[in-house]
Amino acid sequence: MARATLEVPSLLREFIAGAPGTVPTFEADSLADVMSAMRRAFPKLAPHVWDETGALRKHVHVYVGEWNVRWPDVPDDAWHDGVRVRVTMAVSGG
Amino acid sequence: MAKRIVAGTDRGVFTYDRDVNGGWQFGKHALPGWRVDSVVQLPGGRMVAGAGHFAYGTTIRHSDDDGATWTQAGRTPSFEDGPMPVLPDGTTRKLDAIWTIVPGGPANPNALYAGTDLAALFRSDDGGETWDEVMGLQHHPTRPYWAPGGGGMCLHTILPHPTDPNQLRVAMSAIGFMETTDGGTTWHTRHEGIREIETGQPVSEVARCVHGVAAHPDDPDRLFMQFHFGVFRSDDGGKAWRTIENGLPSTFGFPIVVTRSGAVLIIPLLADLQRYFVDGRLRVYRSTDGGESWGAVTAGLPQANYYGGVLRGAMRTDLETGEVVFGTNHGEMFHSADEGQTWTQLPGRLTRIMYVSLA
Repeated sequence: MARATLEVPSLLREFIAGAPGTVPTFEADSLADVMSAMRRAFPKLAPHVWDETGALRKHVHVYVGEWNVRWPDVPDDAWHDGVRVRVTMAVSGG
Repeated sequence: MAKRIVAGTDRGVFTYDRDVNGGWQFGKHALPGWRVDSVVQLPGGRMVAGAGHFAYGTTIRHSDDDGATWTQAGRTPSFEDGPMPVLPDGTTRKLDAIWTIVPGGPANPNALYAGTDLAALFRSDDGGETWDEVMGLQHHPTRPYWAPGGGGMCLHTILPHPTDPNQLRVAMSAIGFMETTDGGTTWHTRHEGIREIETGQPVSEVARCVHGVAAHPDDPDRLFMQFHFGVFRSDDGGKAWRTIENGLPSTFGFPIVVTRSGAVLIIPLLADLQRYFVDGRLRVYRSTDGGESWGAVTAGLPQANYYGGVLRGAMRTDLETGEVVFGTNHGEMFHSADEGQTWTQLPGRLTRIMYVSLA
């Protein structure tokens, strides 16, 4: 079990808000458990990050440390205590 | 007089508030960054909005402080958590937008309805905090043959019956007009007299691209429909329809409203491809004889080189005051204090206006 901090874009911050001044955190057993652990910890964030199939929304990325969870071969040790998890919106031109 | 105009735009909620002189002043801008496809302010003051984002999906929010702060519904409309996340053919139902939010009216005073894309009806009985799908609509035998219109496959119009709590009518694009008389368990299409369009589906019963429907305030069975090329009237609750197009420059448009005295208002657009005001003139077409004849209203409206449009949810009337308001897809807001006979443009220019309501 490890505990990570979670950062999200400003538009989504209200959905993970805790006590003022605190940094949102969540726990997961392993890298494979990160997505489901996030959903459980932040249920109001869930519809904005995952679609109805449970997949990450098309224009949303989740990084565990420097690793995008969509990438192949993310090493298991990317998930460790204190790691920073970031939700970002894909930059898709414009 | 209404005290507030609430607008949903592609860049959040904007409000106009009545000032001490009876005019309108710019109020708030809320939920910036969100596309607000629908927003209403309930009689108790709560605002309820359907807010979406191309990357982050769509949920319902509510505000109890005039839009200063918003809370996401505890159980927002969702197919994933409902009884039918996947259609019988294996397709996952995805929720793209909350197209309309409508109070239940005097027969269902605690109810709120929401119409969505993908076409579905949701109901809340706790002021918008929790929502459940009205599943009977999805069990209609034509469901496998529903097809989208240009704006998606949306349930955009909800007409609660003023006295019968079990009767409800809805319109969907490009599907048609349906009615339930048993509280939503079973539904029936109401299309006799409405021409079919080519949706490519094999079942013509649901090949009707209804753009909007409004009921007469004194007779809920007298209905007026803006169709995809066509304007229709029914005097029997939608069982039979006939055209009412005499004097219109185009039969294409989106919003349709009926004022407290029964005047019918539409805004014809050049179509199908152009979808802007005919001849570059913003004219509201108004009928005071139930659609038998139409007259152009131009007072207070731009009459030269004006190539915008008015979206489906962006016109509303207040049945108590007779006021009417509409917003354009270029962000201009127009208000009428006399049931649409004369208009005043409100100050400022918003972004693309998708939805308006009066409070």
